Amino acid sequence: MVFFLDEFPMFRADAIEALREPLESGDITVARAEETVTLPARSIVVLAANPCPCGNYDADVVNSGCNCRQLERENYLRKVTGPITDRIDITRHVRPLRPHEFDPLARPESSATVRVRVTEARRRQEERYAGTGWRLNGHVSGAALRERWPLPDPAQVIVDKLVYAGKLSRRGAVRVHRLAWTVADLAGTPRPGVPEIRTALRLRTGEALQVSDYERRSA
Amino acid sequence: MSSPVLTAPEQERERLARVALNLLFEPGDRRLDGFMAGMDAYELFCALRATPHDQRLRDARDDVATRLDSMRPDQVLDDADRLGIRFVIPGDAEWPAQVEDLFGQEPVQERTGVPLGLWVKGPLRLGDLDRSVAVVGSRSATSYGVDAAGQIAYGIADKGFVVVSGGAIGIDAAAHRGALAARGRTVAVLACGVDRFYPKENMRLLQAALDTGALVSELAPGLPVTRMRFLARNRVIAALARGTVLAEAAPRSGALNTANWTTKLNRQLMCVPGPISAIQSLGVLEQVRSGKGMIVTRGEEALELVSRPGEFLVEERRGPERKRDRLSTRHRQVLDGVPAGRGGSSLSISRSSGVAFAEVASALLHLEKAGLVERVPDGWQLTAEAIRS
Repeated sequence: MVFFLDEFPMFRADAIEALREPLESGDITVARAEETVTLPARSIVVLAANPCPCGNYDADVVNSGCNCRQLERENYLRKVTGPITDRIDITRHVRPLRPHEFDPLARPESSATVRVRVTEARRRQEERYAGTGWRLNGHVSGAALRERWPLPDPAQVIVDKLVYAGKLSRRGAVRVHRLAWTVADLAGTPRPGVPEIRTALRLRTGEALQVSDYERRSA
Repeated sequence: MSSPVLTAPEQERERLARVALNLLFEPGDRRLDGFMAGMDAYELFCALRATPHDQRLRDARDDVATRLDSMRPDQVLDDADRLGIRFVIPGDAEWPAQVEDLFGQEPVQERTGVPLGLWVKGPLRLGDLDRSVAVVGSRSATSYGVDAAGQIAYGIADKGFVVVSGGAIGIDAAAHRGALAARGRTVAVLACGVDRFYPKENMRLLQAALDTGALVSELAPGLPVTRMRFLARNRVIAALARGTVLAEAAPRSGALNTANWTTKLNRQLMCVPGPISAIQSLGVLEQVRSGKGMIVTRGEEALELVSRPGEFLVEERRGPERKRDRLSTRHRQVLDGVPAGRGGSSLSISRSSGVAFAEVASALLHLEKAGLVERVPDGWQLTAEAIRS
């Protein structure tokens, strides 16, 4: 299931806060006067936000058609940061297509091709977690990951250093660990190592990817 | 060292001799400039085949002795011709004389000198490279670097300049593709024969470049890449183009070798800035830090740097113009004194802005006409538009 919130910063602050628990635990507890119900709420959550309220902001002032005030822009983007961001595994900045991206070799992947790769990655995960009650990387607890599907030392060292430096929360470290497994599963690599953890970190922070992160499969 | 005018048969004899030498010596052999300064290619070839008296010639002959026996320059030239490949030498109409700037240059990693000739495949004439810019960088690139290189190459090709690069994966590929997206022309200078599409990941790209541009190499058809050949190739890229844009390069990247050659040849080195946290940017930023390269962010900026003054003027980037920008300083000062959301008298505006009461009255009329202030029962206030801007 995919749960997609377009124009995420337009949601009310209390609605955004309410997402915290289901994002972490995969279920949601609704408490009313008489009873309390806990419902499953596990899904892939996709949040979209514009760079500013009017949506026309561009760092390149020549292309920027934005007339939002700095303060409006800051208030808008503030909603995407904080405790919610810590629970977001992948951050990507997307720009409108520009002319240089239309060259004769640009051959975007079809959804069908991507589906094959995703199906295969999910199959690997199911196989790995058979008998545990889990099916996907996203389900596995941090403790179990460290215990049974740990990162090789050099990769773990990278994560530990970031945690020590205060650049990555404990929760973030577990999430990066899970994501590194997904990166490996998608590439058909038996287990994540340093390149996969680096890719996972870049995906998390929104940094530019290495071309080799996503073109490995075509080599 | 431009060659004397040769008659057609002489030029063909010279070509054959240069093919022979090209087959004998590795590209960028530092001894060749010295040899060629005193004699033409045919004489040098004859001197090598005889037993040379000159010690340097004898050493060179020892190096090439094993190649000398098996070599068939005429056949190589014929085979090349059948593949649509030509060997361009000085004296040909399309010879890019700018590569002669390499003459006598101190070697970098033992490679230097004017190429004996260039193997070319494709419709582009090398003479057109007098209007060209090289765009190079690491094979291990980031999505940022690839995007930046593509965008800059697009801007360069869009203005009719040829984009020169090395045909490698990563930044080079992005540069070629950016040029093709602009329906422009692009040239890949290879470190192997131009009949080999290397690296194989870029097969389709190199073929697309061939449709309107060219593949160029010092290596005869069929010859594979070696490490040294990459280094020799880089000097040719730098020498062919008017300047080099360096998009991404980690501190030991081969692209820095091209950057070095660019500055050695007094060509313009241009650097694409990147984050200081990315290893791919560090080699580039170091070029800026040491004062060798100029920062560029768009193709037009690169063209401005490599063109005659005034040929490509880049418009300064500015934010959208606002009404306030057109006001005089005094009027702006008055505007700053006008309250928002409630009216203020001329007297209080004079007090808060520090502008004479008599002047405030006329300034307010001007600002009213500009749509920045409006009358309300108890005086003047900012318009909604003035508050926004």
